Amino acid sequence: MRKRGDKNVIPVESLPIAPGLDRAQLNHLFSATYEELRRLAATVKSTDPSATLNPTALVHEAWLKMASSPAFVSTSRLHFKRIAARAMRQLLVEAARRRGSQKRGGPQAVFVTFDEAFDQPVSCERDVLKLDAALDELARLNPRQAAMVESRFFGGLDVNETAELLEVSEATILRDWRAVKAWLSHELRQGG
Amino acid sequence: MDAERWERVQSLFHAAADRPEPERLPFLRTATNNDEALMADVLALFEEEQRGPSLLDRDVAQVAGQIIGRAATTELPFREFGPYRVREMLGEGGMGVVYLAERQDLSSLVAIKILRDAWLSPARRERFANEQRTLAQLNHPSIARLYDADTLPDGTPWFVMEYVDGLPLTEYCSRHNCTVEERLKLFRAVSEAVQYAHENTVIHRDLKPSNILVKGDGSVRLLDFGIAKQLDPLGMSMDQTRTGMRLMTPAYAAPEQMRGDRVGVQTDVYSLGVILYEMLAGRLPFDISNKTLVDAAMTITTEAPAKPSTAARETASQKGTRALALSTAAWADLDVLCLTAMHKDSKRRYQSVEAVLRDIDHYLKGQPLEARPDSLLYTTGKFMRRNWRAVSAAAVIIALSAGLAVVVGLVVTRGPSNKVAPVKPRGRTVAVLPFQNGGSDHSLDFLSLALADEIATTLSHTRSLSVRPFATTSKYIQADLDLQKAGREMGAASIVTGRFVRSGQQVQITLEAVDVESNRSLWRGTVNVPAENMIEMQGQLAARTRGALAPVLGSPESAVDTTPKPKNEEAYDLFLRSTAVSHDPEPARQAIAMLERAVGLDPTYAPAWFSLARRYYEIDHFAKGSHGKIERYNAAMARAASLDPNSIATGAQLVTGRVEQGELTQAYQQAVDLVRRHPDSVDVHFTLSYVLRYAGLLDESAKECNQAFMLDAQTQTAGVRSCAVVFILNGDHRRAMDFVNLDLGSEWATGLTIDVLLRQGKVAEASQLGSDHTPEWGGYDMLLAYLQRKPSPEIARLARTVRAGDDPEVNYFSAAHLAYCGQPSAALEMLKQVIQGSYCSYPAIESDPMLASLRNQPGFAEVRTAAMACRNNFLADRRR
Repeated sequence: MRKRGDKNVIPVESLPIAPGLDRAQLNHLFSATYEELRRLAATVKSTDPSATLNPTALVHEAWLKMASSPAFVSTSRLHFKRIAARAMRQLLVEAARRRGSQKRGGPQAVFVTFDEAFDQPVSCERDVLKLDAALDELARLNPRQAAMVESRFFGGLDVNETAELLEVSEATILRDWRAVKAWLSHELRQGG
Repeated sequence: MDAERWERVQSLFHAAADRPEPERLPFLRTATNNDEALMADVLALFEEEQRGPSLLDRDVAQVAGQIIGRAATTELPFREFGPYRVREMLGEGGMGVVYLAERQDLSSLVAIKILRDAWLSPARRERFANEQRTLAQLNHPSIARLYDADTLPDGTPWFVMEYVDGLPLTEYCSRHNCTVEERLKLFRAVSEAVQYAHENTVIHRDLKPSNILVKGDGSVRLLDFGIAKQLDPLGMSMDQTRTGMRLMTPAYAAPEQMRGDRVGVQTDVYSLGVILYEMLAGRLPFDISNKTLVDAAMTITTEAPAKPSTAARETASQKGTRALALSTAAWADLDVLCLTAMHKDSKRRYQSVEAVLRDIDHYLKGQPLEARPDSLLYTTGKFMRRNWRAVSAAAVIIALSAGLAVVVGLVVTRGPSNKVAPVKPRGRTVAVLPFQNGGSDHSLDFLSLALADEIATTLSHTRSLSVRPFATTSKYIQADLDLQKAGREMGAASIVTGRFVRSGQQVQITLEAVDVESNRSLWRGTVNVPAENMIEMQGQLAARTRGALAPVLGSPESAVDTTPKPKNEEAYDLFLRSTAVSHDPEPARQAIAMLERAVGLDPTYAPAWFSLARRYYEIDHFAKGSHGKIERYNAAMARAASLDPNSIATGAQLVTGRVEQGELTQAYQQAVDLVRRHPDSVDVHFTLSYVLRYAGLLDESAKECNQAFMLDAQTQTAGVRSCAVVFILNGDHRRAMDFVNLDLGSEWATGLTIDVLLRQGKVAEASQLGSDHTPEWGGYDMLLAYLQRKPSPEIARLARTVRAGDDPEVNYFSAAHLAYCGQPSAALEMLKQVIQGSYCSYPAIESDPMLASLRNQPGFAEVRTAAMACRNNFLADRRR
């Protein structure tokens, strides 16, 4: 039996996102994460884009809200963050995919705009999709590094937490991050 | 690239990065042995570092903002929704977007709500559908009406509701400069709508002024049932009985919502309290605008708000306006009304919106309110007495729902079971655990308890199996349970569990029996049943249980089928769903309505009668102001017993009811008969001990308690712990503590520990037990004040708050405490009531050290005679 506070309840390389959670629980998690993301997005939209609620706070609040839910009582905080990071990645990727296809004019996409043209940069969606593909590639080369990127970028885990989750030193994380970031950036620019 | 090469590239990259820039290229040439391709891979990384920020340097928040935070208007792929044409956006929330639309053929205005990003998860679609269902179910002039619903070709669901052109409640009040009376009338209208929703088993959970619009004609409309909760069928899904995961509006959220605890009708009462506060004081009770969620939760759960009158004065002076014109007395009433609705302890709030409405009316008519500051004490006393009752009576209940333990607030911790050698269960003991819902259709969640209950019932009608009470098994609900461990905890030889999945119109139920000793599967079987036909489901499940499962578990004969059979589909469905309804007073009333309808439709189904009787029993004892149901309870019990004379639960409940109604002799005969028929049942022995305890036959009662304890060393059965009382009264303090500790950590246990310590003369130890963790019945606060040597007027004042209640046993404890605190006449008066209630209390009255001070009082002899007569009458009747 798992107990709250247990470390490393998921093996790092396990990428089915949440062992021990059933579909319904994941469903709730995704809904909740989605709403958190939307809240986050609304903050970004309404204020100065540089002054934002950061994902760490976001995930932390999501955790606070969900920690008492029976679905998650046996989940450690770190484990939860890891799952939330994966959820965020999947959500953003799925949203980017759908938004992208709408823009290209899907079969029934007859857009109405009332007072606002959509002039948002398309590049962000493309970047997210490419990052997703590149992370899949990285997972093949080095699963731990892929988990690191997912946790740090999508889940807002700090260096310390990432190191604890992946059972490596902080120095290793910093070192890996540098190389991986460069490689991913390269892939983002290259890929279709 | 492969993993090996990537390793190589990285190590070269790091090694080169450690060198000054000019040295990097030469280093790489040497290190790669002029491998151009490898060098290019490494150099590409350096190049990339020079390029400046990429996506990975951005904050995920910004990315989210760009991808999903775009204005909802640009996402709407359609402008036509059936006959409706969208005109403009009215608002957006976490779940959906609301548009103003026109019905073209009628040129009337409506509001259309669509679920945003419906693809995301079934849970969201389910919630959206839930709101739609809720609105469809509610038909009230003050609740926005549902007109139409459909799905777009891309799967996005939408529904059409009444368009309300109005102002948010608080804004309306300030714009129109409403008088107090006008405000209260608006508030009353809102409360009526909420009460109506409650009557229809819906809790709103997100009441706030912006969800309440006032139209130009002064009528109100309640909007946004987006996180409303059905009290009944779906209630078993724990996520739904909890606050859930959506961010409610913290300013109006009740403490239990902030904590993520169970919510009930009192949660809406709290929000109404905050709304009234804001309407009267011109500001919110707490300023949490700049707080983080954690700080906000802290404030809401711990800080006391200023009185509305004080807040109103402050607001007025800050804004330079005039506060509402009210007399001091009127403000005092409104303060009480508001703060009672907003009490942090949901049990101390108004227990229903109806109660709020009554007090609003009292206020408007100039009558005294029902809520008074001092009545709070009464309310809680009453509540704590419920605990007592549940402790003493729950033993004989095979409670159908896991909810009960939560409701009565028992903290069930493992007691001193390590002190007692575990007893091997006699016979073949089976525990049926809740089933898992393997599908995503949460409307079937209630089946997880209902199916298990059904199988347990069927098994308990086979002769040679002893089935663990459902109250014990129903807490083993999690999916990844260690079955062997659970089985050992319950002293079961085998475990039955399973899962169900809905696919289309069918539900596939997989049953499994596991042998606890070997942790091996004994048998596994599948039943496919129609999802919409509960009777069919019951029939097939029962047949399979008798035919295949029972023999595997060791019931040799494929016994004669004596299981009660439901005959009416609707009635059976109501019965099943009622099992999942919480035991809180308000939902319990709904359950009663469901069950009354069920027995009306199918008067031959014993379990429904039994459930109904249990509900009346609980509500009569546990809920404030609902007496007079005793006849209905008795009638339902009589029907249950005559339809299913073999049910242990029914028999035990029959006895308990009789004991508490003072019919000791009949209760005794029935209890003895039960023991004769079911000598291995824990519940039955406890039931007999209960009768004997009330009759004052302490030694015999103790014997039955020991027997029950031996049959089930874990004494998971909730009520057995109330055997502690027997041992307190006969002076076996060590044994008393064994039972008290079964409920360690509860207020009940703390109270009884004090009782034991004082009877042992351990006064200092007793006085150290905190006053904030004792029951509020029985005068423990007086007792502790006395131990802390508070002045005697204070003790006398507290003594006056100790009142007699319905349960004579509780009154006995009150009497003992009064006697101990030097209040002999009050104690004697209380003892008279105890004996009148047929709690014979002899010989305790002579031996209980706490009553020592009474024995030289002039009135004592009379009370003693009455107590002896009570016991002797019982003995004489018993001999006959």
